[in-house]
Amino acid sequence: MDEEDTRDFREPCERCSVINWAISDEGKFFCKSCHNVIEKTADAPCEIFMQNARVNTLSKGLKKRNKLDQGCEWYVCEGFQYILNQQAKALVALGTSPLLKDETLCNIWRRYLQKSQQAYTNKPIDVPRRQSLVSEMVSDSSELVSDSDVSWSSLTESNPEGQDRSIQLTKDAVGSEDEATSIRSGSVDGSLYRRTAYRKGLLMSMPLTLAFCYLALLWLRESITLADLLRFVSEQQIPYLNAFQYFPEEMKLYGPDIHIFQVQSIPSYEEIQGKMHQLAVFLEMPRFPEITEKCFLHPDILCVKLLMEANLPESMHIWIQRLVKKMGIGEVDFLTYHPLSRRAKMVKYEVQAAAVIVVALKLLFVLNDKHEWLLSNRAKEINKQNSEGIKVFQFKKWYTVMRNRLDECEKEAEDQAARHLWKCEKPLFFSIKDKSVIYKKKRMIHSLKKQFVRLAGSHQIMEKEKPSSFKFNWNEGSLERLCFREDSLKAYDYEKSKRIRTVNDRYWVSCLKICQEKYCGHLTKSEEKYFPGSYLFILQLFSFLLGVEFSMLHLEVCQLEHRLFNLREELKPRGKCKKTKS
Amino acid sequence: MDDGIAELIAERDNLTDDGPVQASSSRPEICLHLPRSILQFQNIKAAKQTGFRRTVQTCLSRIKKAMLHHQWQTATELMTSYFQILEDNTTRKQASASKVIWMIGTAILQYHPNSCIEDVSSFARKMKSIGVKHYLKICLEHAIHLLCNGKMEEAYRELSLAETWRYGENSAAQQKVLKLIQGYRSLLDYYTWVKKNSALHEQGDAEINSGRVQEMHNYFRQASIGLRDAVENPGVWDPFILSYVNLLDFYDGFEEALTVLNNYAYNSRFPPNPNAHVYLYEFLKKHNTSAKKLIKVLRILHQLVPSHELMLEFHSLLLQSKKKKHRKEALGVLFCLLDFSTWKENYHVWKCLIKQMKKVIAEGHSDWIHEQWESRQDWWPAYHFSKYRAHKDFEQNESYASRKAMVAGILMGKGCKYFVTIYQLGYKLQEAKLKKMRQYIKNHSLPNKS
Repeated sequence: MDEEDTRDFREPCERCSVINWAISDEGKFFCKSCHNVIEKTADAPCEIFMQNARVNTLSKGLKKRNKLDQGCEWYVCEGFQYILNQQAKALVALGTSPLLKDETLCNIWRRYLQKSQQAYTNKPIDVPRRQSLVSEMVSDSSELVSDSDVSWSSLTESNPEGQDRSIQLTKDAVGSEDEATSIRSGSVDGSLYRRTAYRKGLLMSMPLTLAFCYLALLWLRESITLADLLRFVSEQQIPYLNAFQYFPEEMKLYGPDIHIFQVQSIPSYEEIQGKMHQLAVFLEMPRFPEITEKCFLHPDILCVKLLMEANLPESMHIWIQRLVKKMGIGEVDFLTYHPLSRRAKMVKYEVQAAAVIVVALKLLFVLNDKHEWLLSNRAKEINKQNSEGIKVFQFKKWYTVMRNRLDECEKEAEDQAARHLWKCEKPLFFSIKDKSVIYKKKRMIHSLKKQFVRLAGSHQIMEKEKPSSFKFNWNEGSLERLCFREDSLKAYDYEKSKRIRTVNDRYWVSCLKICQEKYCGHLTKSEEKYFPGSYLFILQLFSFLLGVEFSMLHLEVCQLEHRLFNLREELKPRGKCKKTKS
Repeated sequence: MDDGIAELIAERDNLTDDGPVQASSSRPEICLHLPRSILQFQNIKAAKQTGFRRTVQTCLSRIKKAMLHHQWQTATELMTSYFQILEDNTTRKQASASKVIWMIGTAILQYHPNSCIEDVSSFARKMKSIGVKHYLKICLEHAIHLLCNGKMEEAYRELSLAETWRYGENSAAQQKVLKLIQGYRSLLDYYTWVKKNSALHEQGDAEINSGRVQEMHNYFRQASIGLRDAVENPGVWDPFILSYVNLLDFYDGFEEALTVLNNYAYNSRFPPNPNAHVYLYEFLKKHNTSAKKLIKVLRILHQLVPSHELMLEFHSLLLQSKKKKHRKEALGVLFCLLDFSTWKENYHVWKCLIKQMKKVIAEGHSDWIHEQWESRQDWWPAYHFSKYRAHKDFEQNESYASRKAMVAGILMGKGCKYFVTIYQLGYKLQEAKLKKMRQYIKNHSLPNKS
């Protein structure tokens, strides 16, 4: 009744934060949901015509306010294209080659559209509405070509005409029946998207956007590893979480679109790697550019980075190089990714590099909670004797420094994790019915936050740290942080021979049971507690540095040990080992 | 993974709770669940949890930790990131989250050094609109918080608003809270009544006009109606009952007050509550009821709480009576009192006991003492009459010790440790008295008789 008069008054009620005003008989505003009367009175003319109130309400109808603002029509794949574009821009800003955006990722995306029969095809998928969009694109190019004149950006930005035209076309095709569906979803095909029958191939999803990025990075042999990529994503250097909020104003997100674009967690390393492989196979990609010794992804180079980050002496690198050679994991054929080959294998480059360091540390210091301490005591003695010159690396000292640093950082990381904000400012709702509820909730949360922020005081506005692929930084200059980079390992070099042999017989193999690496998960939870403390710490350290699961690193170490000692060959006569669970 | 196992086990335990009820028809089915040992060694995949949920969970556990350590500042900061849980995709989570936020937020605001009562009020307002299901509870809690801060009027307003609140159908739980709200509101009415009443009395009787009386009566009516409704429900209503009885009593509603108290004490639907009997006793005593009735009330209290301090009164009441039965009972009451450590060193009780024992012996009813002693003879010697105790008692109070020694002597004979110790200690000082005592014991102690 009163909505006519109260419509202009959009302040939320201070008691219940709802905008649901009505006017009482005295002409005062009151909240319909909690009956809170406020100071505001109805406007003067209203009061004058109070006696005619009935006529007033009869004469005017309400404008349709509930109608959703539909925005322009768009397809889900366009949404993903937009997100990919943003992600590529962010990656370029992080220092990758500009080719990534305009050439590599663009081509991979086109190829995906073609393979999934969404565009660049003569046989478009069986949805009438799509035809117009597709026919628009077909004219550009019909296959994956590197010298295509339609660049990545032209698809989204610099060629607004083309996009406009396609939209117009679709509008003609869609006609009136679209009214009903588009309220349920903002995009044209959002409600149909999840039906698997609709897509024969790989269904585009948010994690898959990261797989696209990784694929492009790998193709270009960029220095951003998958672990780095995921870390940048969680630090929000690369848009992923709530990426849809950067959509242009006209692209509205409703209903099923939310399920497609909203992100509830950051995918794991393995998930993205698996998705990447699926995608590469789906796209039938050729053998990737070779990873040689000069590439960042080669274990030799990755190890240098990790050694620096872990504050280990540089001289360890000699050992690592020898190990890499012995295990054969530095070879081009091993490292280069070839999705379609029969024995396609995905190398976890950075995890493997960390595992090499772990193996090297085990070779040098045994890490059985006994020998490393004895050795570091001996090193201390040696250092005492010749106080000048290069010091011998002391494991004990390194351990204390790193332990403190790791504990600090882990605490900080957990702190950050607890404060991570997942939800975006933009209210999302699945149907019109929810709209008012969602808006109210948003307002409520906002006001609650305001209250508590005021109470907490305005301190610590976190400045965004500069993105870096280093988590720890050990400057030689600083005093309180000991740096071990220059320390020597001479004292541990028992064997003078060039051939690597186990430093002593006490080397122990991490996995308790030797088994088929393909079938066995190697690590069961209960095994963890049998690990020596220092080995456990080193695993913790590196898994924290890489941001991967602890067990994954352990698995990698086990696999390297299999290679190093060629265990399967050595133990063959004893027969097969079955999958075991302890 | 460990959490997974714990959950599984918890689930299993839950299942077994409901199990037997259903299978009670004929022969109950054997219920076997997976042994724990197997569960432990299974490689249970941790349930897939979204990053959002994980964040919120760590946030909550950190808030709890901060609260436990009274780090209100940290808790407040963390709270700002916890509010996002209200946007969880499932409504069930949202509902439970609003309750958690209400409880934690209120606690933080109440303890945070920089927060004022306004903050708590505005927070409560917001929570009422978010968690409609907890509306009444929030109102009640907020009203109590206001009361604690001396804001009577605001609390009253809050309560009366909550009383008139209607939203959909009331569940049983809501009804319960509503009764509480009503009760508290009436209690505040009573409070006003008491204040006005005492003011009125200070002014003196001469100035009382009919208008004032009417006003007082209105308060009385409001309070009594609410209190009556609240008190009718089974539960522990001590302050409410007292106020209600006071009110009724003031307006000469003796019979009504008595029924209320009787109902409170004897209605089997109410949980057993010793205070109910205490109130009833005090009320009856105030109105000079016959000793017989008083004894009846106290006898029940004696069964509920044998160590209650009213037992001394019970004892004296019993002694006043001429009946033999009552005197025997009085002896039992004293013995029971001394069973409890609170009365262990009570001088008065020991004095009463020896006095009565002597009297009983003089009347030739020493079998009564024997009867009481029988169940206690295996633990009282160590409890009351050890050598150590004798030394201690003697140090503290000689006459008390000698009285106690006499009891010990009568009960256990002159050879008992306690008596011997006291005898030796006090021999020099009061030789004659002790000798007399020893003679008495020789003649009358229980072991000699049997």
